[in-house]
Amino acid sequence: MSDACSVPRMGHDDMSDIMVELRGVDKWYGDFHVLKNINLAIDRGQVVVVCGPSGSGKSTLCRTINRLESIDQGSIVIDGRVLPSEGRALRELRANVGMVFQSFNLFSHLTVIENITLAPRKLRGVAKEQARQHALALLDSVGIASQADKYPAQLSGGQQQRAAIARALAMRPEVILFDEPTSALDPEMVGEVLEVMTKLAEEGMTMLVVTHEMGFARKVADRVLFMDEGEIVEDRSPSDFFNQPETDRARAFLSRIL
Amino acid sequence: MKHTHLFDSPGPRGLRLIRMATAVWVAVLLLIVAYVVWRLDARGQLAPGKWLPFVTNVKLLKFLGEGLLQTLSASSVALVFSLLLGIVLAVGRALGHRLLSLAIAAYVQVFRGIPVLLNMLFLFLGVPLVLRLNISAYSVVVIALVLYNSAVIAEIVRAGIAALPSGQRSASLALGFSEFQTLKYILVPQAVRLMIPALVSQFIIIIKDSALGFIVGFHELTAKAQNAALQLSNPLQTYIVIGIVYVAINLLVAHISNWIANRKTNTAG
Amino acid sequence: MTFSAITLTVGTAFLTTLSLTLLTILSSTALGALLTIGYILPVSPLQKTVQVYIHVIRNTPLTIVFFLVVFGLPQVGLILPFFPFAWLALTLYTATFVAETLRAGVLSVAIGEVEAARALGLSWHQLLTSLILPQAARSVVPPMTSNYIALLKNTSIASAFGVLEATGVMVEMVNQNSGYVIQIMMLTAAIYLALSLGIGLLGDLVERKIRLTR
Repeated sequence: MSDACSVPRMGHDDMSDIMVELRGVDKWYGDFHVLKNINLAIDRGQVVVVCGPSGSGKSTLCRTINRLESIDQGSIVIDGRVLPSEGRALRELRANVGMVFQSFNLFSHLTVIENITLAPRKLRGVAKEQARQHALALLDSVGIASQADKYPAQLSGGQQQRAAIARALAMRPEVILFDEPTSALDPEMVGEVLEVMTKLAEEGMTMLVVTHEMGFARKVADRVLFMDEGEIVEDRSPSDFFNQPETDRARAFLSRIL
Repeated sequence: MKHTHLFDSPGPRGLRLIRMATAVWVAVLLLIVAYVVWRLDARGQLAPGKWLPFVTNVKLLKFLGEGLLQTLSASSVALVFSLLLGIVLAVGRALGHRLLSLAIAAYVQVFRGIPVLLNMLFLFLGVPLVLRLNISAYSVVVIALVLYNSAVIAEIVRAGIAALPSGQRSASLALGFSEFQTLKYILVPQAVRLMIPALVSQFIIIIKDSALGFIVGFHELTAKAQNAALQLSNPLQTYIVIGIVYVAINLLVAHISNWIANRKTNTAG
Repeated sequence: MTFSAITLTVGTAFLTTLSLTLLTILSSTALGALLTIGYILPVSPLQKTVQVYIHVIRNTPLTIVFFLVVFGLPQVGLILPFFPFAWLALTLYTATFVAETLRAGVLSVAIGEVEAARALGLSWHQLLTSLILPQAARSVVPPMTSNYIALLKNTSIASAFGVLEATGVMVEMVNQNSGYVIQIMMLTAAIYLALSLGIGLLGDLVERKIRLTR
C-alpha cells in the first residue's frame, strides 16, 4: 500500500489498518483548482490536524471525505470501501462518518436530545427510549446532560458545539471530521469544546480536524498537515512541524499565527 | 438565491435521472406548444391580419398609447399621494393621541380588508348618487388607489420605523429634537430608504390595479385594448400584446429602481 | 326592495364569493406546490419554464389574465361557463404567489442544517419530512394567509366577467335601489372586511397550533 507522499508518515505501526485514504484527488470550482493532487492516508485511531491560510482548500478537503463536496479526479477510500457517489450506499457511509461543523448546525426546530436521537431512530430504527438513554449518556459525557430538553437557541455556542459532537457520536462513527469546530466560538468557550475533542482522541477515535488551534495540534495530534493553495505542503509530526518547518510557506504561516 | 444545497452533486445514476427528466419535460413542452399552435392556426388566430396592426396601424398605436399614458399618469399620481398620505398616517399613528392612533389603525385595517375595485365602485356610484356631483373616471381611479395604497404604505413605513435600531430615536431625543422632529429628520427618511424595495413592488401593484379602471369607464390601457379588440375583432392577440406591454413596464420599473438603489449605495457616504 | 331583501341578496352573493375563494385556495395551493417543486428540482428546462411563467404572470394585471382566459382558452378548445373560467384565471394567478411563498419557506431553512442532515446520512425523503417541512411550515403561514386574503379581494374582479359574486350583485342592488346606496355599500364592505379578518384570524390560529405541536 504505497502512497505518493514523500514525507515520512507518522502514526501507528499497523500500516494495513488505514481508515481514510485519498489518492490523486483533484477538484476544480470552474477554473479555480481548489484541490491539487491530494494524497493522504489516515490510520485507524490517528488524529490528523489540517492547518493553513484561508482559501487553502482545507475545508473542502474535509468535506470531500463524506461527499458534501464531490471530486473531479482521484479516489477516496474509507475503511476499505470506495466512497459511493450516491444512493443508499453513500447514506450508509455517511452514517459511519461523523461531521462537526463550524456553525454547529443543530436543527433549530428540535430540542437538543431530539437532535441527537433523530438519526439513530430514522436511519437505524433504534427504539425511542433506547435512543434517548444513549443520547443522555452522550450528553453527560460532553458535560451538558442538563440541557437535553432545551432548544439550540437557548444554549451558548460552546454548549451547542458539544451537543453537535454528541449528535455525531450517536451514530457510533468510525471516524469524525471536524471543520473548524471552534472558529465561531467566543474565546472563553473554545476550551470546553477542545476538552471534549481531546477526550475523544484519547479514547482512540479517528479524527480529521481542520483548525487554527495550534495548542490542540501540539498536544493531541499524531500528524499535522499544512495546506496552501490546494496542496498538502507538509505532513509531519507536531513537534517536527512546529519546531522545524521545512518550507518557507509553512514558516511564514507559523510566524503569522504563533 | 440558489437551492443547490438541497441536493448532493449527482452521481452517475443521478445524472441519468436528470437527463431523462430533462428530455421528458422538453418533449412535453414541445407537445403543448405544438398543440396550441395547431389549434390557434385552425381557428385562424395566427393570421397576420390579426397581429400586424400592432406594428403597422399607426392609429391603433396612437389609440393604445393614449391609454398607456393614462395608466402611467394615474399610477404615478396615485403613488405620490399614497406615499405622502401613508407617511402622514404612519407619523400620526406614532405621535398622536390614542384616539387618533386607533382611528388610523381602523382606517388601515378597513382599506386593507376590502377590494380596491370596491373603492372604485363606491366612488363611481356613490358620488353622483349621494353627493350629486360629477366625478371624472380619472379621479375615481386615483382616489380609490390612494385609499388602498396609503393604508399599505402606512403599514410599510410603520414596520420600517419599528425595524430601526432603538438607539436612533434615543440619540435624536438626547440631542434635543422633539418626537416630531425625530420622525421627520431621522426615523422616516431611514425607514423609507429601507423600504424602497417594498415601495417599488407597491408601485407595480398600483400599475396592475389601474387596469381595473376599465370597469368604471377610465380610458386607460386595458379599456382602450378592450375597445380596439372589439373593433378589430382580435381580442386574443390584443390582450396578449397588452399583457406583454404591462410586463415590460413593470420589469422596467423594477430595473430602474434597482439601478437607483445601487447608485445610492455607491455614492452614499 | 326592502333593505332586508337586499341584505339577503347580497349575503347570498357572498356565498358565491366564498365558494370561488375556497375552491381557488385549494387549486392554487396545489398548483403553487407543483410550481415550487419545478423551481427546486435540478432539471434546468423545468426550472426555467417555471421561472418564466411566474415572472410573467406576477407582472401582469389579474384583469388581463381574466381576459386571456376568457378569450384565449376557447380558441384552443376549452369553453367553460363564467364561474369555472373565473376560478381558472384566479388559480393561474394566485398559484404564482403561493409558489414564491413556498419557495421562500424552503429556502428559509439554514443551509448548514441541511448539510448537517445530509452529513448524517438522511435520505431526501427524511430530509424533507424531518427538517424542511417542519421549519418551512412555521415561516410560511403568515405570508400564505396574506395570499389568501388577497385572493378573497381579487374575486371581486370576476364581477366584470360574468360571475354573480358579491361585488357584482352590490352594483346591481345599488342601481336598482338608489335610495339605499350608502347602506348597501357599507354592508358589502363590512362583509368583505369580516371575511378578511376571519381569514387572518384562522391564519393566526394555524400558526399558533403549528408552533405548539411537533
